[in-house]
Amino acid sequence: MSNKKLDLIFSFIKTFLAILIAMVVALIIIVCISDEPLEALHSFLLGPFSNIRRIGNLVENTVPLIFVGLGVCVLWATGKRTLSGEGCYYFGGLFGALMALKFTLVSGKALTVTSLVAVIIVCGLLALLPIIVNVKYGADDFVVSLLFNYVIFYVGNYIFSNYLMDINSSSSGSYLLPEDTFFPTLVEKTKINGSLIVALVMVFLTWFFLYKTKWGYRIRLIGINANYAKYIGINVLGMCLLAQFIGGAISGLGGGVEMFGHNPRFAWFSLTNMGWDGIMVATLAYYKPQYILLSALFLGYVRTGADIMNRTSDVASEIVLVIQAIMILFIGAKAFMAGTQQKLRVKYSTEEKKEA
Amino acid sequence: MSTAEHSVPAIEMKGITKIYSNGVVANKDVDFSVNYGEIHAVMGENGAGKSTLMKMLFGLEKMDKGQILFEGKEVSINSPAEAIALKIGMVHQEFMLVPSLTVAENMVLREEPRKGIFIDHNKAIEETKKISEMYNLPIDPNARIADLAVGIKQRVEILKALYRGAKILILDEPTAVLTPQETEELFRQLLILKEHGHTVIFISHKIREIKQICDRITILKNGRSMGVYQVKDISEGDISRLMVGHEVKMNLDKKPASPGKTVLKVEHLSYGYGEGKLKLDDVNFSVRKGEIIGIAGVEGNGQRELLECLSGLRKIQRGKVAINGNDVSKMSIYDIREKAKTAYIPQDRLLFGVASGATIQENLLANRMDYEEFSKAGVLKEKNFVKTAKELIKEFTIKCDNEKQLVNMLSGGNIQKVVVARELSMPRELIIIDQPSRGIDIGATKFIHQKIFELRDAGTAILVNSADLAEIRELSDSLFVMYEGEIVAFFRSLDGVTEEQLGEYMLGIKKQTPEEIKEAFHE
Repeated sequence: MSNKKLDLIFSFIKTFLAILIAMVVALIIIVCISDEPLEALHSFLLGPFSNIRRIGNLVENTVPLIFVGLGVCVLWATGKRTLSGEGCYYFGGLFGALMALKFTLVSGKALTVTSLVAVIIVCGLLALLPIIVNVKYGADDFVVSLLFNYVIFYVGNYIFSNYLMDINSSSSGSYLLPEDTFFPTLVEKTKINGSLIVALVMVFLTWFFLYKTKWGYRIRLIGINANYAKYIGINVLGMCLLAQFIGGAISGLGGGVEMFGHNPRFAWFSLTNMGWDGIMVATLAYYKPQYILLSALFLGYVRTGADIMNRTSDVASEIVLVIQAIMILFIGAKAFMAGTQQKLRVKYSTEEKKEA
Repeated sequence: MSTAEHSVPAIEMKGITKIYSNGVVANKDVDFSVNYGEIHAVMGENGAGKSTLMKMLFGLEKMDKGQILFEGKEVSINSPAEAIALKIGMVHQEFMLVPSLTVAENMVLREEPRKGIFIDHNKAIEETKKISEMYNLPIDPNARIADLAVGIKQRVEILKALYRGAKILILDEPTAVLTPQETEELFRQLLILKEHGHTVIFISHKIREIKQICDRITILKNGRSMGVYQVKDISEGDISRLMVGHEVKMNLDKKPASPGKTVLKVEHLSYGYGEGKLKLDDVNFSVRKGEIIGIAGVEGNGQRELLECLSGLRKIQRGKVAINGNDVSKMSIYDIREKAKTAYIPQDRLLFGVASGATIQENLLANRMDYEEFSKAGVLKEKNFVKTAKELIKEFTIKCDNEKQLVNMLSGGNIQKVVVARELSMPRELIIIDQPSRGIDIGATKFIHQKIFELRDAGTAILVNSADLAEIRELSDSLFVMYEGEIVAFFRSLDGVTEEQLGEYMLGIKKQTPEEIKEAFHE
């Protein structure tokens, strides 16, 4: 067996085991703290599939995770680990609502498209700022983008409270979003709508961009070895900006599509935490767009299950945090399974030599 | 020699196997042993597993199979601290010294003599003097490391190991960074250590040096031991055959150069303002079509800065560099490569030359994605990529499974061939090569030299830098020597110029007159 194959197999085994261990720990906790553990387990594990509405919830939970996960794949591809996905996702939602409510030149589905295009451009541009500060003034990209998210939030909150808030409504939030702009529903009695298609198309486009175009190729080369990229004549700053723009745009689009079918009003009163979820989804997928659908589905499944369990039993949905933490811990841990892999590596390469 | 038969060896390593996480088999069932009071050479081409074997002995790498016996007793060495406790010391290729501290401070680091809670500086100086006198290795304990020459730094490293009580000293390619004079001095020091009953393990791939001072030799090839020999019983030809598998004759057919018009012009180039001494100080030279200009010098005398200024990796601070009339300071790296048609093979291939986590194909074609043949509207043409990659792998005899293999799976020589294939397979006006054969095997070196000659004969201007005197002499038509950022000598022809003469310029002992140095520049 070649070393490359061995690495691949082990990254799958590691991911699988990490998930398994996390689930087992969660199940043990549930059994320990619940008065009706069997029921709790049942609603946690099988709840998401018990009826069409809940499957709808699962999809509804998964769609935004796909966007933010893809966003992180691109944002991080050059090795600049920014958190811009968080701010962009929030602002994407806000700006989508702003467009839907205040942009009056077009209406209906044309407004949907116009709004989302605007969201893509605005969020892409927003994601550039931390990197410009990083390159120009040498401030740490991670910290700058983290802090910048708060700037984005407070600007967004200003816009929301001054232009969008519906003070006459009993439920706090923006004015009602125009229903004729909503994505068509795909499955009756659920919230599964056209945004799912957009998400799936984005999975393909992101993969295609990163692996099949020269720009994606250059971005990945920078991530593998930035010195080499510079030496070979790649415009490193330009490509880093492009990656941030696209990553920010995808994350923002994720927030944007939420305003066209999932929510009757814009009602985000804080940052959404989706940027961090995006990091988790991307980590679980080894930062490869082609695996994002799977990892987003899994996370969406766990969250939907926990939500159902929360409502139907005495176990709180925070159990999800335990699962996430353990999972990421094991996937991120380089030493996890490294010994076994080294033993197999020694065994296989010794055997191969005998055959030869 | 008789002691070897009658007493227990100082160190014995048995059946050592080591496989790196990228799948490279560094050592396979290697047996190795040394006695007290001998200088033992570990020879092999780069990538043969010499350094890995020694790193395991010094506790820097963990072995996968095998055992280590120290004076006949099995030991496990898991860290350098445990190796030092067994009186094993190692001098690495890159020195492990703190440049801002003095010699004495570096010597006692980790085992500082104390006075209360303070370091006892006088005691440190005293100890340094004592050990330096004991082994007749003179050193100034108060000198700052940063101010010392390479040869002296190496001496500090040796003394440091001795101060920690080392009886067995591992030297990893100690002569690679030294001038001929410094090498002689090092050998004198090693013989003193031998007289004191110390063991020296000498890693090298230079046969001549080993014949000169070593007693026994262990030869490695492809991570396996090819046997242990008495140096006096084995000929240079035999050693070479065991290392490479066949005897290598380095004689290449080199025709006389016929230079044409000037391609590269460097005028009054200075670099390194604000960093203390200038890294480059008023450098003037030119390279013409169809000639190879060599740069000789001890490493760290501005060669790297010079080549990086020419290739655009560093911004030119003062002076003028023009390639076929194009001002380099006004061009991006991309333009220097594509408009001025310059190729650059960097010294540090893993840092600059390749993206080792990417595939061979991705590395080979990274510089030609914009060509119509390889992309249309930004979308890559995968088929042409594969086709060209396959052709290049064949033409440059890169040993690999296929073009999709990751570069970090290849040997040093083959990684260098990937760099060379990428840089030299397109029509270029100027080729800049930094350390063409650093860390690669003889076969690959010969191949690369041959390629350089071919390109020169086809009319390319070539600038080569190498710390290996033999190599630079063989490659260059004309040659200049750099010392502390200046050109101190220029030789239009190398006929009758000896290595010792070059060594004197490299050490800054001699300097040519400005008129002689001016010869390096052509309008």
